[in-house]
Order: sequence, then C-alpha cells, then structure tokens
Amino acid sequence: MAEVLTPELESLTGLRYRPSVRELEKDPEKLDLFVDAWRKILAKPKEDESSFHHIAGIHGFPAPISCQHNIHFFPWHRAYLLRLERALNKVDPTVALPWWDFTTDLSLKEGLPRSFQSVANGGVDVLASTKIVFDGDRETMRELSSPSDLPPKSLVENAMRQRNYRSFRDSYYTRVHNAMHQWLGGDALGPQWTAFDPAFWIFHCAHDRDWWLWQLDPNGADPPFPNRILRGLDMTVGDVLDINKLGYEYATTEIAVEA
Amino acid sequence: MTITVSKPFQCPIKDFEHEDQRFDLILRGVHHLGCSYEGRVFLNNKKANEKTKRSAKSGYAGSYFIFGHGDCYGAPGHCGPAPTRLPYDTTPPPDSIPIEIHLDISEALKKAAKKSADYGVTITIVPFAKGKAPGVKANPKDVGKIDGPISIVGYA
Repeated sequence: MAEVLTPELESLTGLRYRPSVRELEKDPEKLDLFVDAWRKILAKPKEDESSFHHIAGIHGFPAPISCQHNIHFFPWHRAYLLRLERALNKVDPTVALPWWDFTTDLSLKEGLPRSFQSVANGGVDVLASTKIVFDGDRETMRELSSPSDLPPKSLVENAMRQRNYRSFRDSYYTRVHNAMHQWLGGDALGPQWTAFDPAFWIFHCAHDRDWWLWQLDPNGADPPFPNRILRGLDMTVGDVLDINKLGYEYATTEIAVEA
Repeated sequence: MTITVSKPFQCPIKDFEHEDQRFDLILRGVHHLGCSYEGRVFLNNKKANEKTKRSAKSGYAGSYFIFGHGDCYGAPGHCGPAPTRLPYDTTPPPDSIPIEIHLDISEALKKAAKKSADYGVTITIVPFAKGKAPGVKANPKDVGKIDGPISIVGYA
C-alpha cells in the first residue's frame, strides 16, 4: 500500500511538499494557513522585497518586463515561484505553493479550483483577485473561457514525450502555457499584470511540476546556457535545475520494497 | 487581424492506413510582440474566420497559442531588431525575435486529403484574440502576422 508523504516524512526529508490545490482544499485548516500567509504578504508595503506586490511586479509592470519566455522559460519561472514561496515562508514556514492540475475531468467541468474562483462562486477573496496598488487600486480581471477549453491532457503528454529540452520547452510553451493565459483572459493576456492574478501562480506551479517530472525521465536533458542569469531574480539557470536543492518536492508517496 | 490562406498544395500522403504517419504544420517567423491570441488552423476552408466553429466539419485541424508581449515596455532597444550576431556568439537569441510554431495536424490533414480528388489541400490560419490585457498598447486587430515560410513536414 502506498504511503502518503505526511508532515512527518516531510520533516524527515527536510523538503517542503507542494500539494495540489484540490488536496489543499480538502484540508480546511491547511487552506486557512495558506490563505493567512497570502494575506500577510499582500498586506506588506510594496517596497518590501518579500511583499506580494513587489514580487508580482518583477514579472511585468511596474519594473521593465523581467520574465523570460525564451529557452529559459522553465528555469526563470521556477526561480520566480520560489521567490514567492520563500516570501510566504517568511510569514509561515509550513506553507508551500500549491499546483493546479488543469487537465483533470473535474477541471474540465468546473474550471478553476473552488478557492480561486470568484467570491460569488465561493472563492476566497484574496485568491479570486488582487487589488493592484501600482494601477490605481483596481482589481485584477479575468475573462474565463469554458472549462472544456482548458488544454487537454494529451497536449501535456505530447510535450512529456519530447526527447530534448528545446522540443519539450517549445511544445509545452506554445500549446499548454500560452493556452492557459488565453483561457484565463483579462490580465493574463499579457506579461504586464498577469502575475498579480493569484491563478497565475497555481498553473505555473503545475508547469514547474511537469518540467520536474520531465527532468526525472532518463532522457530529460538540462537547458542550455546554465550560467545565464535569470533576469531580475539573482539566480542562474544552473541554480534551479534540482528542486530538492531548492528545498521542495512534489512527490507524494514512497513505498518501501523488500528485496 | 491577419488571416493567412495558403495556395492549394498536394498532400504527400501515400498510404492512408499507415498508422504512424505524422504531419506537422511548421510556421516560421510568427510575431509575438502584440496581443495574445489563439491561431486556429483550418483545412480546405478558405472562408474560415473568427466565427467559424472548431469542428471536424469546418476543417479544424488544431490551434497554437501566442502569449503576446502587448508591445515593448523595456528600456530603449529592448525589443528592437536583433543585432548582427557573430558566428561564435553562443548566447541565447533575444526574446523579441519571431518564433517558430510546430503543430501536429496529421488526422485532419489525412481526412482533408482523402476527401479531395487530387489530395489537394489549402490551409487557413485564423487568429482569435479575446481582447487585450488592461493597459497594453498593442491592438488585437494587428495579431496573426507570419513573416516566414509555411510548410508541412511529414514523417512516414
């Protein structure tokens, strides 16, 4: 029988376990801790480097656009997710960024996970939208497509079958990642404000998980130019190749097998 | 919005029953500095437009997605044309250069060619933009620009 990675196992490995959003939603206590941490970094002044606004602003506005969507799309966003997770950990070391599997039957039926939906649909206020202090305190906006228009699992699988990094990145980026931005619509349609939408973080976390799973494949090659600096994040491509060295893990089970 | 319609070409299919036969549509020089959009590909439907349904009946073969920059918001020169690169320059190319898109259209292409008397097929690419992100300068009407050649690569 599979053994679920419990907090005890987590403390044994010393790694933060990133749960799926659906899993987080099944545990109201853990969801509350995550939301509380999110509220705390939202409340920090934008000048604070560990505030939500400062970090969201690195992707696009108000700074010159730092995000990289070239060959280093995956490494840049891994470092970026880590930046936010570390800010969350400053206020609560037990929380981790959750990832959203947008390819499940439930997602194709309901769309965004419940806690990230609009408040009218039962979502949590700070996960449904963000009041952007850099843009006249306006709320982020979405123009969601039908849940059935979410990228199908077959597109993710197609990317996972690629046998070199460039093909993997090209396949995933143009068919899965870009489709997610188009699906969300509104602020997600451009790099300027997209990171202010809380949904940005959970689907990008899923991209990061998919990249990690692809990396674990025997053919999963590293991206080129490992010494390149990831713009605006003070890390290199080589720094982010091993998620365990960054202190987190997606694995949920570990089964002891007797020889 | 730029809708691209190809001239008819003869699909290089020899054996329709060959299961592993795959055909990729390759688009080179696809611009991505404007608005985000979905590029919908239709076969043998020259009149396809943004209102055309994505169905087998309309010749829909698949979509690719562009996450547009919405214009240049970087420092001067940030999104300018790429400088001439020296032969030994191994740094990655700048983000702003047009990209190449690969799209597997095997099943739709086989069906379209099979229906046609001489295996003739046309490709229509319809950009579909939802709108634009707040505050961006680019106009959704300008999407869909493809500068480079369009080709079909077959794997028999």
